[in-house]
Amino acid sequence: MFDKDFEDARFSLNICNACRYCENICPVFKAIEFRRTFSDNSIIYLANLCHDCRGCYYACQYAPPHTFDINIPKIFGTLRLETYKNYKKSKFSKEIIEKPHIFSIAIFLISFLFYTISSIIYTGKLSLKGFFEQNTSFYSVLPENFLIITILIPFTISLTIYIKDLIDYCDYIDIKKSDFFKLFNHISSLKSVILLEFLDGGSFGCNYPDEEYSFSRKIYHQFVLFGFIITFISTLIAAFMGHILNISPPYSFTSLPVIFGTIGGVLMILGLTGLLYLRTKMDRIPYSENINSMDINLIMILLMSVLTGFLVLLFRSTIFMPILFIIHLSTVITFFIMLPFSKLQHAIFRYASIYKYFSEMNK
Amino acid sequence: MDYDVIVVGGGNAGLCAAMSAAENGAKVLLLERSPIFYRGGNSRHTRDIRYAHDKPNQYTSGSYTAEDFYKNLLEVTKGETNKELAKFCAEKSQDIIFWMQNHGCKFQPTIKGALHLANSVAFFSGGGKSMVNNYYHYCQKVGVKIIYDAFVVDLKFKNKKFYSVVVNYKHSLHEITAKSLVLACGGFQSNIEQLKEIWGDSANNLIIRGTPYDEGNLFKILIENNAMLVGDPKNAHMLALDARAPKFDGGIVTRLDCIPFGIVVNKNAARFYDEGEDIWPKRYAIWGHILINQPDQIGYVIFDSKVVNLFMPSAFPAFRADSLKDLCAELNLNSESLIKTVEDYNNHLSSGKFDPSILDDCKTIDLEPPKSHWALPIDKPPFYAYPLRPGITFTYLSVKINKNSQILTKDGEPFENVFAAGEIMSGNILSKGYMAGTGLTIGTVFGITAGKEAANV
Repeated sequence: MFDKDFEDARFSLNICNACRYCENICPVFKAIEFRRTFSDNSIIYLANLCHDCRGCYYACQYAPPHTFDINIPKIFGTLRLETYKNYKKSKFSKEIIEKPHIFSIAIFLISFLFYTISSIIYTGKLSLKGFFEQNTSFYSVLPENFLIITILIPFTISLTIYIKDLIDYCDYIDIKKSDFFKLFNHISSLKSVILLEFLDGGSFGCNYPDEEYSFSRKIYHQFVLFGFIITFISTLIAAFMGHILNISPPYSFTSLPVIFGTIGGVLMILGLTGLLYLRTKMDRIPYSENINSMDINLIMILLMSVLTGFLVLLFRSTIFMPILFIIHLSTVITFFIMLPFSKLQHAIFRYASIYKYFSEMNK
Repeated sequence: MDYDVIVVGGGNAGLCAAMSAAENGAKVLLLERSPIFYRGGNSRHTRDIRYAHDKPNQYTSGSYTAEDFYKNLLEVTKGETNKELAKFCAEKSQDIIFWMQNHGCKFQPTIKGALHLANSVAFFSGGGKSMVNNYYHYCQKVGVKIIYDAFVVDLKFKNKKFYSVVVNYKHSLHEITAKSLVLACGGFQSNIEQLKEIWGDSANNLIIRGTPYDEGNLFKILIENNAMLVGDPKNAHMLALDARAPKFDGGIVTRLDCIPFGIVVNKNAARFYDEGEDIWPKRYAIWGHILINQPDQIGYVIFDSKVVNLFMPSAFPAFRADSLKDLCAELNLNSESLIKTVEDYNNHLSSGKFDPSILDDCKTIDLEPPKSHWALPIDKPPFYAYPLRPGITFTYLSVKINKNSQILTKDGEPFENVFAAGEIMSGNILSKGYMAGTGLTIGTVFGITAGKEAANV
């Protein structure tokens, strides 16, 4: 299967390199022009450089039903999925990637049970609601140090795998160790991520969800990205207030963590529902269906994390706080554990590919 | 009347005519013979358009005046052009970039060094199919009714005036009337039977680079209705293609740019034409005519590893072998003959300095046929070969028109309400030879003119 995908991609890329009509659409085609032959490594690099704007599919005189059957967004989508699996050595991890929903739900349920039982043991009460007074601290549900440890352990393991995958990927696409710290290229790459400049079909907008040019996907994606960063900042501020300034949560509605968390959360909800909405209308021919569950899975986990977070915020002074708090906590744990197996891998592989692209361009 | 204007053919010229007619107040019907994916005729395979501009701009470096354009047209056609129309086309081409942009066409910024054309042509972002897609969107916006899979099988005239079209749509015939008609339905290069009338059985081995739908049936009907023709039927845009190209619609990727860097032999392993006659962009469009006159219409370009990276890659990999003998086995060529041809060639080389960017002094001495430039010895294995076949882009034989794009009858009078644009009339201007991007210039200028005139009949 994998080999055949590479063969198909190689055939397509040779056609692209002979045609070059798309060179203005995105950097993938400029990178193609640097090459005459396409190794497996460079095919993976190009597949992860692709932002799936789909401009090339609609512009292509050889797209299906033409006998050449050139469908770059689709074959690259398939190969990206292979990339996501490739650095997971065990069969079990590959299984997680193929069936993300089952595993996310399982992880969620296990951590929900784990925290529920822990809370029952800790508080000595059998029910998670009704026995608490209003306006109690989260730490009356579960002890602070216990929370820190049970969150940090899966987070650290996941982050380690995530970063190791990044290093292995850089090695695979042949970014030399000595080349990885060129400040100028990092600035260019970061700028490209912040502006998502390669998701614009050569400045006209991408052809998503259908043939019409549109910037909607770019905007929704950036809502999610910036929303995510802002909620992350909110968490950092909360940690600083809690552990350095010793101000215990819950924080008031006008406090910095709540303001940041709310802004970030709202942005994420807008972005994620926008992306989901576009998916319902998207043309599925230039799409690799194999990656569908992974795409949906990440959107759902992020959406659930934000929504449960808001529920905690809204109901934190009611008797529902403990149960909502444990649900939110379990969702976030699910996000952490799934991180190196989720679609969020695209962030590191895409970044490394963009970095390599600028390294090639600036040589 | 069902419509004011019917446009037959949904390529660049037809789309320009439809948009222009609609903007001049007409109720327009566009009949496209292909299904939606293959819409756009040969335009879907194009990439750039030639246009006159006094000053450099964001799409083209340098200036290229209407006089320059006109002069170039006279050069490539050796003066065999309708000078009035050629001048009109060159002058009108000054306005088309903005017109195109206003109608949704997207261009890419100047590309460096590409094709030696950056002075005179503008490139579409994403190529011709993108342009076609954008035009179809615009047509819908201005209310042009579009029907795909609509094959126009007959034209009806009343008192020398066009009256209606007969359309085969989903296996039944429909007659549709209109005040005027624009024919933008291409040449006849996809009609092998018609090509055979010109080239005999050799035409069986022609590869049609573009749409399979340009069968020229309306061309025939026009002739039956006394339309005047212009041009030599043998003149067409023809070049050398990879013999493994699909019979139709292979487009740009099967062309081969390696001919100046090697030698070309026929099926008897003998050379037959100067491979280094002139710089490639000026010569590539003669190789179709040369190949169709070779036995079995096949050729092989042979080169060695020294030059393998000097030309644009193409769709299919080259045949490759460590010796000429092995290469012949793969190509089914007589190895003794090929080895002798290559030895002969290698023994007649000057010791010039090889430079692919200029007309260098690397040439053969006392060899027939000569190779005038870039003649390097073929001696460094591995050896490579591409099989060649003649390919045809479009035919030049056209209906004669006047400056209003009206088709003329044999007595010189125009049909009052029948107009032509695109390949079907391009021979008025391009009777022979070719310059990149000119086909679309003709289609755009006369498409806009025909649409406007047809709306005002």
